[in-house]
Amino acid sequence: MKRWTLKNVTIHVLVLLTLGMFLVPLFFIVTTSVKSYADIMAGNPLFFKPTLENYLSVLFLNPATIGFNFPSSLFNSLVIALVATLGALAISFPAAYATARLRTGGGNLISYIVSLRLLPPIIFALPLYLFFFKISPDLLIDSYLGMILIYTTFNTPLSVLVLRSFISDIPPELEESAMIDGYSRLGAMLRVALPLSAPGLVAVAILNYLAIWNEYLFALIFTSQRAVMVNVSASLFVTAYAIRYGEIAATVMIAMVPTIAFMLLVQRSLVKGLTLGAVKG
Amino acid sequence: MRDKTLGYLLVLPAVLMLLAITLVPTIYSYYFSVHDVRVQTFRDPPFVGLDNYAWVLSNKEFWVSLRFTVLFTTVVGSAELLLGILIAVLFDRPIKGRRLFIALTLIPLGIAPALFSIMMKQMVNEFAGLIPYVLRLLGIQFSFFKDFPSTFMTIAFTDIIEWVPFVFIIVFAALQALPREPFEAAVIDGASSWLVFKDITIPLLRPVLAVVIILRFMDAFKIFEVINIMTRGGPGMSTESISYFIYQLSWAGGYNNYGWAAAATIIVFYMVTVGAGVGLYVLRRMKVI
Repeated sequence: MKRWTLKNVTIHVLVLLTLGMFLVPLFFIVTTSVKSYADIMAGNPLFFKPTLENYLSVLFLNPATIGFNFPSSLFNSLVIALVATLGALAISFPAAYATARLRTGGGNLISYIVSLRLLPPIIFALPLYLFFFKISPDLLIDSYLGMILIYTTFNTPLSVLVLRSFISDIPPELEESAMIDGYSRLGAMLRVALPLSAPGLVAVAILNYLAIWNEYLFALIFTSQRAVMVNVSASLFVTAYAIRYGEIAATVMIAMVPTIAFMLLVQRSLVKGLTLGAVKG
Repeated sequence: MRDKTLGYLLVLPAVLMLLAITLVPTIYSYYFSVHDVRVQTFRDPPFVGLDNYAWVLSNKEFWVSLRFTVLFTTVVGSAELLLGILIAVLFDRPIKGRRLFIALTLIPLGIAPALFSIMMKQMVNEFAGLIPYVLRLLGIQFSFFKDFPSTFMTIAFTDIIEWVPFVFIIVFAALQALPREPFEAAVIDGASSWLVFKDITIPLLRPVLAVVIILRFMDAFKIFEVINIMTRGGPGMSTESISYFIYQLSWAGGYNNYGWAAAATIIVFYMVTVGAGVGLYVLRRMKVI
């Protein structure tokens, strides 16, 4: 039987305060998104007549008013995030394997990769923009290809670091015995290390997917119409309709509910990836 | 095939991508930084020597944004670290429904910073926001973007709520993985919980804390979304961050001067590198890492 001591009560109050700090903004945006304009202005956070008009208005908005439509930016983000996530995995796994098992590049390669994770992205934004502009503005700016190249590259450093620590935890004997059985080193990597790294690959894929969906700076600079991504369209919506609070809330909800749901579903892998990335990076 | 050759082949795709997307453009930006590059002169920019650097270094906006960014990074970085550790310690005990609480606490991590900023901007909106509504009920008048202190407080608060969960989960995971014996021994010896925290928990967490400090301070320095969405650098230019300043120079501020922006980019690159070096040195001297 638990006693309601002063200490016990304090702890529970603190836990509730903490949760409140994180959840009140969320509660507010959920309720605002289903309020009519009159109810928003009335301000009462608990009593109002729920409506779906904001969602309908956002999803079926006339594209001409802001230059693109919101659902298409959701689709753009989905495609770009999926392809770039797979791209980053495809180039990160071999690199992680080589640096973990074969000690390729020694410490220098890893330090270079870590520095890319730490430097502010704005440092790369301008040079990259001019570089893309010089090569082919049509092909690389405001295009799927350009965004996929950017996100694949900028998610590679963390992916290599996390995968590397997963691979280091696999006993090397397993690959060695596969090699005695006649596999080449490459074969051992593909047939032994790759399947055993599956949890790591999943964790990294989740981290990357969330990072890309949530990224803003590159999306803002490199996309405007053809490949506009979801956060950019949400923020442009705010600029265009500053006082349509309900619709803004609905935009935010539509853009963030998939990632929140996804995150809660795969919480264990996510936490594992975050922790490994931080601790071993 | 020898392992060495195979190793080089395996890292090749990643290294090529990284070089093509980060290093080549960076080298290219040195060329831009000594030329007058604007949309009109893009095809054949005239050489201007170090003029772009001189312009940036003598520009008031640059120094204001640098000072703001350093101040902001220090304030939110420290607050997030402190709160994250406190919450991790708070949750590191048997509480009913802890798993659910932790899942809920992590929600901000899944929200894009840009969307989170939109959300918080609405929270403090004079007409539609929840916080002004509650304050009005209490009879308090407060304007969240009136002057520099109030604006700073609003955006710092936003950044803190967004990133405390990150510090929390990493410290929490590290706490859970700590060996139990030192704590049991300390309790048997009758040490107070503060002493246990100070002399056992913190030293054991040191390596993790070092990484969290580096990550959070480096990331806070990148601050952009909150500024672009909540303040646009205002009032005046008092909340312009370095990232926002460079963004303004090249794309949004009406300058469209890529030469200036390239020079600013290079200056910031060296400042960050030197700053991070000094930071690491201080952390080492303080024996945090």
